[in-house]
Amino acid sequence: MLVQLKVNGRDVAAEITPAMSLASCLRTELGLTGTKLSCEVGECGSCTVLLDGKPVTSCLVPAAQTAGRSVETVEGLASDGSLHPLQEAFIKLNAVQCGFCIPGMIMAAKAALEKNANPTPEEVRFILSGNLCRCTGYQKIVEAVLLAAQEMRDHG
Amino acid sequence: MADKELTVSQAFRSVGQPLSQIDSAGKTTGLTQYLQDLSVPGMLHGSIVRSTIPHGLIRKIDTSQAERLPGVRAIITAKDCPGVLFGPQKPEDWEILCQDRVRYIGDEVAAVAATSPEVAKEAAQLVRIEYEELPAVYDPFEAMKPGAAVLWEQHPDNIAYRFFIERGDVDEALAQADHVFEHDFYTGRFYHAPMEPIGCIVQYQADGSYTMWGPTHVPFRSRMTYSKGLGVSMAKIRIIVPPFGGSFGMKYELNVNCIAAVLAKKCGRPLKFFYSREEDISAGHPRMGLHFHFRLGINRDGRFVGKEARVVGTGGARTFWTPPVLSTACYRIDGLYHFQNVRTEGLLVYTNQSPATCFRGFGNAEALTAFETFIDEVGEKIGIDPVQLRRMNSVKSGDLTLHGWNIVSCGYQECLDRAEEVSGFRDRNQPPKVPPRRVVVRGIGLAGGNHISGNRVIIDEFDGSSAQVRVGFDGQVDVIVGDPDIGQGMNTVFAQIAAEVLGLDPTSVRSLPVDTLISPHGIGTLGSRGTTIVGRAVQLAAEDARAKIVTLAAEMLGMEPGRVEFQGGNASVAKDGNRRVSMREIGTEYSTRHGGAYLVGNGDFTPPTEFPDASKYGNLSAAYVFGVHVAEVEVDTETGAVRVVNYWAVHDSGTVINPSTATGQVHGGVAQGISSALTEEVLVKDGLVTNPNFLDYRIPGFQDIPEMHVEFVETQDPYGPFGAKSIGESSLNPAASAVCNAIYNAVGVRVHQTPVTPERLWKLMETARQGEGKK
Amino acid sequence: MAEPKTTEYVVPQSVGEAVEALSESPKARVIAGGTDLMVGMREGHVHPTRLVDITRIQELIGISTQNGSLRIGAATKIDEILHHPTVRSEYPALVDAGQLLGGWQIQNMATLAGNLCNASPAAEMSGPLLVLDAEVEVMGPSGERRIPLGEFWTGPGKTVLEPAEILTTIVIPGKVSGRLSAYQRVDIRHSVDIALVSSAVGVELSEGKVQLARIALGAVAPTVIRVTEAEAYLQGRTLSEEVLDKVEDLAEAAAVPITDVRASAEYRSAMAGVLARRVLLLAAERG
Repeated sequence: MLVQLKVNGRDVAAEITPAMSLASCLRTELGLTGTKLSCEVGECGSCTVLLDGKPVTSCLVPAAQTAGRSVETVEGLASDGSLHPLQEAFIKLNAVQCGFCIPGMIMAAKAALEKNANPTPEEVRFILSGNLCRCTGYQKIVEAVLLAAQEMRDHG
Repeated sequence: MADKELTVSQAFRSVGQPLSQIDSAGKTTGLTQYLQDLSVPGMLHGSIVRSTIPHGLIRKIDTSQAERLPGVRAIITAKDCPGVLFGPQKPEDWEILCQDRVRYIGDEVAAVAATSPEVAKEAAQLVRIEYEELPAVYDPFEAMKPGAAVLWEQHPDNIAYRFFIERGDVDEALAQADHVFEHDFYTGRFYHAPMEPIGCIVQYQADGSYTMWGPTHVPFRSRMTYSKGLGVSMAKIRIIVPPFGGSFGMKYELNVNCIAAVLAKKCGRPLKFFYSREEDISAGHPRMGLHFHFRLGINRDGRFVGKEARVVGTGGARTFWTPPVLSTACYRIDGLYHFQNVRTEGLLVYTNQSPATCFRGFGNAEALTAFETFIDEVGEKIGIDPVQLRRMNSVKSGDLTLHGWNIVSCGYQECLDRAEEVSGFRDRNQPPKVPPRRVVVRGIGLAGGNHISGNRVIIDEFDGSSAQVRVGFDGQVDVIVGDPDIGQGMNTVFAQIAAEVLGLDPTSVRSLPVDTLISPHGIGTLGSRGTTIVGRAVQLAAEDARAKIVTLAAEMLGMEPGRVEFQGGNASVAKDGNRRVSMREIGTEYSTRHGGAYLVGNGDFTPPTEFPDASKYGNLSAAYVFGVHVAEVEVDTETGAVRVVNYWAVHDSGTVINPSTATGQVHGGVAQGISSALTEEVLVKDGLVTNPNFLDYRIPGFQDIPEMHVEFVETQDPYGPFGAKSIGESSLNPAASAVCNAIYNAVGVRVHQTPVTPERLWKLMETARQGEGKK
Repeated sequence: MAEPKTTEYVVPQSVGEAVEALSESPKARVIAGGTDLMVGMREGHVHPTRLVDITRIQELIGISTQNGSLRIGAATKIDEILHHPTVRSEYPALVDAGQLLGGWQIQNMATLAGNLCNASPAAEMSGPLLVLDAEVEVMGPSGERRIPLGEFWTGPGKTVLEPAEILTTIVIPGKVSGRLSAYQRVDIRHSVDIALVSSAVGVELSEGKVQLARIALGAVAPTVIRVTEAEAYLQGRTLSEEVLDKVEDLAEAAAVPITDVRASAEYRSAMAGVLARRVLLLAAERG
């Protein structure tokens, strides 16, 4: 079956099967491999994308359910080669080690900052608790999200 | 919030800077291609047919139904494989596919190639295998008993490997000691949980060679192992290492590469295997469970006089990197404390479980978990502050240990002092009592640890590394090594080292990915050797390049070589003002003069280590590192739930090349250590893993790891680049014991097993309360 | 034997169309948030041939009040429930539970009806709704019916739903407005996890005396259960230490848990008591 949706602001169509996940559709049908698959039970958040602006684990979203809706992936964050403040902050503070969790982490953080532009460290830890990282122990990620929030408030 | 990150001497421009990892732009934009993202034109997908029983003889394999499934291209069994036993360690007990017998649930019996992962998986489920079941054994102590099920006839006692070391007269020392204490501890089966599971792509070429894409710490050793299994020369195997999606010791040699090679050859098409999370947990290769038994002799004044230990490892059905892990668990700690007389026996036992392998910390994290909890108990019993016991008995700079290890630099005392100070440990370390129910109580715990920077004994061949620092025609400076960055940022450190020597902006230097076809032969990224040994080779290579650049620049500028200076990517002339040539001009000039050749600086470094003699005597590491952690926990006395609320880590890693990435290593190591202490264990019932997903195998989340305070104390060590030692593994080593000691401090019960899940702690507290009630 | 494949994905626009789509195909399944079903399909536990997506049916989405009752549409996302002002002010147990239902991503996907229809004894939302005397409205080929939530589950993964019936609305009756409520669970990980044991309490107090109490326990029986002995005992009593001790004992006694990979029966029973007591106090403190 064909599904038509908007991905990173662009109208796209993909040939899918009824049980296919949005993550598989993005990765194999649309070639957007920035979204990672890690646990495939919705526990780790590596496959987080924004669906109509809200973070979801795309491994559990039926691709068919996204018909006519808007999906934002990590590939849509940087524009014209200039990085999003979250990307800048993650790089600057070394919140990235192996990096496999980072696309999902940054997408969840983006939605979190849209909801609360000035979070406390505890609020960051709470709102991102659906994302797992095995390398960083989370501290530099919290710091990076706070730094990006500051940047976005100052220059947003 | 910010850590006090060390600033080193102003004399360095690049070394000591908190540089961002040089590859993180790709990782934050989703453009980095991990193995999961890679494909090769024409690629098929593989799935492994795994044993569903823990132990049995294969009577019949029926692939007919699977073969009929549309999309299936090939199915292989042992008949298609060379049939030689091989493996990364002795005893060599790998088969590409099981010949006639399966030894664990998940053992590899057949494999399918198909047009999609889904079809391959479905076909794998259609392969019918008839077994004659054999009795199975899961507990190592049961396995060693006469009459137990035997996994390998060559090892009738199920002992895969025995380690023994003895120095001095332990029996006499313990007989004379003022006190002898005993301690048992079990560290559970702990899974690496890299965010990217195991996988590989293999392509077979017409010349009989194989190209393999897949993360591995040890690409050149992998080539050696696979060449034996596949019956081809090493030159016929090329391994290309993509960016790692985590590993922590799991992705060394993996048999799936050989399965893929046989299958790829049979179909004549490239082939990809990529494990599901369930497969990665249940048929993958976790840290083995280790049972420790210690007897420690100690005098009234607190001096250790002797230690006897027995360490038993649940290795699983085949041998990965468990033998050196077991030996490390047996005696690495002898390089932290002077025990004076030691005798340790280690037994690696075959059991009907998936084969275990090494994990960051390599047996030492487990041994420290066992011993650093013991030392607290001993201190309490003899009335000496356990921190003082550590101070009194630990090694110091300049010591030669019992087994001949040269502790050239040691900052353990400084780590202890500083950790006590920043955490307020002394004031907060009140004597524990068994608390009543319905309260939440806090406790604080301290533990120390040591580690190595490279390990001579685990590699037969040599202990060195080599590097090239190359200036291209375009002036680009590249570092080339044979030991891969595993996501921890080693390539960034190499760029900083090269940049320091050449006066460059470190962000302009690249470190190239490892490809066995073109990279120098490297031992690999293991034993915390990267910064120290490979890094030193990079430094020497950069110095060699620098000398060549100086000669050339002096010629180009018409100056004395002695007056050439390096600044901002230029080789400039000292005193004479503004005459300078850029790296670009140097690269172009060199290539122009030499038929296009690059200006190459070569460096190799072999540390002054010794392969231990028959008694296991000999200095096995380039440098020794130390660390002290303090954990503060909050215990719910009704549920047994433990939350780590504060954490302090102080490390001696010598000169810190990159304080930001080094601190990141500590954060990550601590997080793994905390959850190894509290939540993570691969649970196995009758050989079947019962928690093979991230719902029931609980790696920590944001709310499980506290904000950490990390510091480094400075020591000077002669071998690593600019005095650097290591951090990757020592970051994890003391963490679990610090948490266990904090739990004791909070609730007055000693734990003898990790993880201390809420239920386990609840049971211990209930037992203690009943004991109190009876008094 | 190869299992049948999922070959159809239908998107009805009304409840009637949904019921029809389900009636036509015996192996059809409703899909809403997908958070349980997608896992079940990938792991090969369920094999629906047709998926009936109810997330576009407007009448199933949203929260409204009608004659004092709170009506929550079946396809309403947990995140929307969490942020609804009436829910936040009147039914805090639902907020306690919803916040623990997966991470934020899952809360944006999972629906209230999905959580109930999955019929897990560990489901977060079940206990809170049970102690709020919720009822569910169901539509099927033979019309509409209303079922008290306490009669909805028959076992793990099992409900009284007939083939082609769908849950349309969850109704919290007006009479419980003012009932104090709370929910907690015992888990292992502080971030996203699943309940080893959970408890929800609804309590009405007057001058410190219990007028009415509802205590529910999760993950200690084949379905979420009520501790009716403790509820009856509490009637007319104040929450003294002695009374709380008794509630703890009664809850522990009511638990009939199994031992599984997550916890032993012994631990679950003990925690059932601990939680019932804690959550009762927490609910009462909200007064």
